[in-house]
Amino acid sequence: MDLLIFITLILIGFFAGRAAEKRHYRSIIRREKELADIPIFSARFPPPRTDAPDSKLVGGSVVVSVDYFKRFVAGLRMIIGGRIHSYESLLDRARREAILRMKQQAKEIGADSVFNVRLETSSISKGYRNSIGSVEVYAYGTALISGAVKRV
Amino acid sequence: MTASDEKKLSFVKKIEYSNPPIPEEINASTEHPLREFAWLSIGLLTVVIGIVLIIGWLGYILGPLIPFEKEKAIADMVIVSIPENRKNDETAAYLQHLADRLTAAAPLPEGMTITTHLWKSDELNAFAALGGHIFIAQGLLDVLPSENALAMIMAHEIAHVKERHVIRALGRNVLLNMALGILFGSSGTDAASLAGQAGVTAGLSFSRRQEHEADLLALHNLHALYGHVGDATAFFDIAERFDKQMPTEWLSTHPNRKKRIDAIQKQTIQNNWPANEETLDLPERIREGD
Repeated sequence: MDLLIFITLILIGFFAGRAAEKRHYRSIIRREKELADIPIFSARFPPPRTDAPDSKLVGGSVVVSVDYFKRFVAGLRMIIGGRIHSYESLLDRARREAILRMKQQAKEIGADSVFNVRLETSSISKGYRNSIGSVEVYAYGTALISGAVKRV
Repeated sequence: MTASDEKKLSFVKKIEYSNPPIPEEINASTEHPLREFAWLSIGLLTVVIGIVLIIGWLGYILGPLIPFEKEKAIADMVIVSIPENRKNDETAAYLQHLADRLTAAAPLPEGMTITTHLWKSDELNAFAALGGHIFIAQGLLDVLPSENALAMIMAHEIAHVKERHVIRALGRNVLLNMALGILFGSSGTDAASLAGQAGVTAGLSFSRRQEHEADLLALHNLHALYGHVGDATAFFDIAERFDKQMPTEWLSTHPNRKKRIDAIQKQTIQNNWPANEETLDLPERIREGD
């Protein structure tokens, strides 16, 4: 009986998780192309420019959860060690999604670039046993808006 | 900035900034997740089964090093706490007498004793505990067709004692629990508990082999006592009648009935033992008569 429940959970986790991941990646890649005209920089200061743009804080956060299958594979991995592929893709998605949401916000306020971009990652489950394993990624930076008003 | 300034700075190459598209496959592997899953599960299962087999074997070897007297001393402490059914003195005496006749026909090693107990239960079951204590359920006495059938079951349990199966099983379980606990106990993940399950399942194969051994020894004992092996498989026919469903063999402590009957019959034919002789009736007084 336990085995049956386990197999069902694994199957649900695998199919649902995989479908969600594929759909998410397609959406990420499409939106990355759409927002490619807003470059982001990790540098603390914007590159020298002759105008004096407005600057505003922009940020985007995302919370994603692992599925049962990913967690099980990771559990196996933790016994022998090595790359946890199933979590790598999860975090990759979370980071890129957070950056996209930040860029989306930047676009909405008419910014042309974001500098000093930082990422914060935190685990929601904090390693407690049997709690949902999910991560939050928050991306933030300073958006530069070269508004017509400011142009000298 | 004036035109001359621009000229002065012209030798400085302007820093180019760009955000190229993020390449896939670097931060996240494109390997099919089932591949990793399969490798990890198969690898882990192999290791667990290997550990179980090695440790099971160790327990099997080390168990009998505990002298029977020690085993009996430990068992007696526990068993005296089980209230025996005093009302069935007659039945208890009959059981003990049958056991004594069986051990007289096929002597036990020096210092080993068999103590029988009536187990007030409707189950069709009997078991050997530590220290040569054998429990026979009332349910069995009610349905078995003959004394010979009961003797076969009792001889089977005596064989478990004789071969030190009980102490071997105990030794194996203690070692296995320790090993699996050390390996997977602390991680507490689903994977760990599943690995433990796999270990227990793998350990069952030892138990099944011991049942086969006990069956064959019991058959010898039966022949030694009665001079024939009539009703040696009677219990299996009865069990078949009472519960049709059997668990899948590899999930069970006992081999499936058909295999056991086949093994017993094969042994009977090999030794050319008579199997259709007259069997002795069980005395009416030991049946509950409901």
